[in-house]
Amino acid sequence: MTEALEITVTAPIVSFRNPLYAAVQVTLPCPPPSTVAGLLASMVGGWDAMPRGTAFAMAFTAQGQGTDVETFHPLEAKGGRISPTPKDREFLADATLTVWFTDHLDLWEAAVRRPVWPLRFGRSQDLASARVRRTVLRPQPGRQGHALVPDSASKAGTTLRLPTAISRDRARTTWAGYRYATSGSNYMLTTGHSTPEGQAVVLLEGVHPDLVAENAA
Amino acid sequence: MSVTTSRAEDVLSIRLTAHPMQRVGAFALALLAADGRRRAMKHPEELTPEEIRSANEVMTKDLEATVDAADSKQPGGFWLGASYLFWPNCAINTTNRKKRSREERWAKLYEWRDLPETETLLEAPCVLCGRRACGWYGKVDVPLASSTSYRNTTVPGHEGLALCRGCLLSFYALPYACEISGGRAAVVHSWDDRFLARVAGRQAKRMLGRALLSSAAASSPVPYARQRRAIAALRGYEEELTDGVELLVFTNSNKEQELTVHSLEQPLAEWISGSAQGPHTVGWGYLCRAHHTDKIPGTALLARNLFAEPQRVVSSAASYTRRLLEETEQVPGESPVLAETCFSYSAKVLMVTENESREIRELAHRIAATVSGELTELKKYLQAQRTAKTLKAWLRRKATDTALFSTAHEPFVTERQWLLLFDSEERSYLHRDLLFLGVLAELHKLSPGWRDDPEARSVLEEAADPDDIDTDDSED
Repeated sequence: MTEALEITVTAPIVSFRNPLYAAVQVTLPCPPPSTVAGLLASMVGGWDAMPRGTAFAMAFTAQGQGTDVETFHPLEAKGGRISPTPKDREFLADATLTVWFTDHLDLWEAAVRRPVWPLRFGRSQDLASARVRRTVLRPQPGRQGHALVPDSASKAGTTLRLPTAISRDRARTTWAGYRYATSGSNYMLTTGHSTPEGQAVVLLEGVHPDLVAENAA
Repeated sequence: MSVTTSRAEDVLSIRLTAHPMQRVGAFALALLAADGRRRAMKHPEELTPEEIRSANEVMTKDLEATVDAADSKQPGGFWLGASYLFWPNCAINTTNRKKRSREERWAKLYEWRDLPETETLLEAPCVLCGRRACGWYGKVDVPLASSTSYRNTTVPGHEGLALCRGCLLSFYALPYACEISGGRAAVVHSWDDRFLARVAGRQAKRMLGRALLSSAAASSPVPYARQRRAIAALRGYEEELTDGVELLVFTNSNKEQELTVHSLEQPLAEWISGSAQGPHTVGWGYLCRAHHTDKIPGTALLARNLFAEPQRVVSSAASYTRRLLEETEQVPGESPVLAETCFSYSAKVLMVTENESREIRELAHRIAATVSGELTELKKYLQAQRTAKTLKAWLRRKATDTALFSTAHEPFVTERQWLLLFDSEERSYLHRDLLFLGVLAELHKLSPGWRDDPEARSVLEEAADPDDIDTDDSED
């Protein structure tokens, strides 16, 4: 058995824009690891306060999805003023993100209980809420469910190439392949740990921005 | 922005990235470099700088034809028409185009598409592959990117999306791998490079031919034509798939920018690909019959369901056989094959386990043995299985009869079977449909006099659309 920390973040409305299609505000079905890492960094006080070797497992569910119309205020490159326009924006409703840590448990537990920066998750105008509890992980793999796992770990779900980490100057992105099943999957993984309920827990690594520069060098 | 001279690693080459459209474009570029497949098509990352330049010359030459076209409907206007969809506000479709002389149009085209010969590159990494970029780009060159003139994703003064020449040329080649219809471009993508090479290469070859013959305004009236094409490509692919398949339908026009992604997860893509040969070849045809309506061909509605609602495939098969049975009072001849196909589909795609399938089959056999030979009993079962409530009542009666009057040691319906049918959340519907198909398959075996001829409905498998046939005799 491995002692672990389970953080549950909930938000009423979220949208994780696909960075490859900036002109259309389509949402990814789940947050990329880089987004979750950003949320965690804000809890702990910034990238300098976050251990470089941070690794976490994650699962994500949303109870619904839809398309909203939002007012888009384009900025003219030359500095002029132009009229705002309506623009479609996809969103996910009633979202729950679960994150598991197996290292630095005290640090993350304290960060969730008293976050340095307000928690925002997938929508800047809403605050997210977070709960934390200690748990134990079994050494055997579990059911994929709604976990986001490396694509080498599963054949189930959709393959997504997502940003794992973005450098501090935002010039470079580390991309990696993941699998995610929007409606959950009964696929039994062959690697990683599992919760007492059987949910697979597979750690995602390399999420700290400083590692992007190292990888690119 | 400062520039520096090139380094050895800045040699013109292609790298596949996380952007599906860049990847598809890279494979289309490889087809162009192979001279429309007169030579063997290489993997994009194996292309030499000369081959990449040669592919770029093909693209530029195609655009040259637009210089003499008065509008997109005239000969040579194909890429002018397509340009509004892919490259709005580019040099060949400006609002003052008609006022420009032929020479001016020519000059503008080359100003836009001229690939830097000197290896001077920006001191910024390409946002996709991380190599040094050759310039800043936006909506004009990259579908669904923000405009470099109007955007809110970067700070004022930022010049756009940094791209290297390899990624830029891949985006320029993307339209060759697209099917254009109804004001949208559709492109099939997969993270399986071998499949992507096949599908993008073949579409690029088709597009080269189409561009010579017609304008971009042509569209296909067949419903769900894009989904059908993707399914046809999968069924024509005989190698092992290593990933799922997605269909991206988009427009980058000024009127609206839009993207819709339809996905087939890997197990489903594998099953579809495998259905073209082997035991489910006939079953596939029957599935098409099951999806046929007066207004929509079965292949089209099946393709639609496979992409949008894969769980509905089995229920459509069950509804079809139920309807036939009620109309003819005969067990449809398709039943045994269709049942096997649906059990296979449920196991591989919908993750019904072996144990669950066995339990459902066992109950189906028991029900079939009870109702076979007596049409009135069959009708009672047919009436009962319409709703969960009436099926429960029918099963209870049969279970009671079995307990009271039969010498059988096994119960008519076990607790596990009951849970599968009535207490498996949304999967209960699937289990009940499989049970029904299983009953018909067994009845077909037990009551030969009730069988009808499946060939009587072969007309429902409409002749394949010529566009659906994904054949290519040339070398890959």
